[in-house]
Amino acid sequence: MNVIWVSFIVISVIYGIYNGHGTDVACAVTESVSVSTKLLLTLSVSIALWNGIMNIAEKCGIIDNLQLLFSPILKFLFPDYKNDKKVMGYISTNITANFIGIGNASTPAGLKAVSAMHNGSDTADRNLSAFVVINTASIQLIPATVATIRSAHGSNAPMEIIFCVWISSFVALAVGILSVKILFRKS
Amino acid sequence: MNDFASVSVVVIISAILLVAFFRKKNVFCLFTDGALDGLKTMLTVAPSIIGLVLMVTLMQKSGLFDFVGSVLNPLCEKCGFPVEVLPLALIRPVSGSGALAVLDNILENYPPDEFVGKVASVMMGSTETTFYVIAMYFGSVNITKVGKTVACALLADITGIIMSVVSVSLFL
Repeated sequence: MNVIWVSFIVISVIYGIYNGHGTDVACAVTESVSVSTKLLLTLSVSIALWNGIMNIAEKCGIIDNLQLLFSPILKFLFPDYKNDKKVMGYISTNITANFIGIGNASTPAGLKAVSAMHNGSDTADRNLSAFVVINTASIQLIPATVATIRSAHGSNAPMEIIFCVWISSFVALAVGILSVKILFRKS
Repeated sequence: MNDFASVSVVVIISAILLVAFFRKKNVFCLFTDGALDGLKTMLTVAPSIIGLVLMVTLMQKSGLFDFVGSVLNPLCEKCGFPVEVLPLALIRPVSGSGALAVLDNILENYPPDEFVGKVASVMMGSTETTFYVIAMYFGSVNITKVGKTVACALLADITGIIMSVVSVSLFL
């Protein structure tokens, strides 16, 4: 990130001045302040709101109910841990929290799941890979952040994208899992 | 169908509230606790968002986005991929804050309810910050040989990116 940030900014400035957009580039610095202000304000309130709602879902046990729903799928995805209640618990908390969009709850459970599945080697095995790939392509029930940004830019139907988001992330997840199953086949 | 999507969100919210209420929880207190947590999370990511909005604004104003777009345009056209969302596809796996800044920029320049805006929104919603997630989880247990996993995760990302174009063309 360090390299990306510095080089992209410097390249932009040089490229802009070279092409005679010097004033535009100079204005961009101050303009980015107002862009950030608007984005941060809308995002803070939106994230606070959804975090509040999802905290209710978590604390009243809806997460536990969802976990029961997911457990057959997870047993299929992680056959080696089918009977390991502890690991399965971490995995399902992580995935359920991702699904309803509470990062605060998903990451700690995910870290515990990874450390419980890790066998000390420096190579990622089948289960760890499947777990991480599921986390990189996780399905979100309500894409609240995107909807908020859409709304801030005057969308008439900020949540309209929800079905396409579900379909796209579901197909992406399926491809990810399938590729793990193929690449990490038991030989 | 689009109305149904929007309505389903408020139905989900009401369902959560009702379940919590009948399970005898202090619903409002839980809400404010969670909201406070959310604000704290936001505070931790705010600095990187500010930095990356600066980067994205500079890249756009200097004409760098247009330049990269014009270079890759022939390739994108051949695949039917909207070149306007390319910056988002490129930054999405690397940086979450960066992707937010780029999405904000795209929706500023293209209406959110038209094709480009919709594709960008779906792409943002259906992919994750892949490299960050991999680094965090594998880094936590010192796993260094991650080649095959990265390949699978990127394949999933590319699928998500292509699917966001396909699904918007088909359904919206």
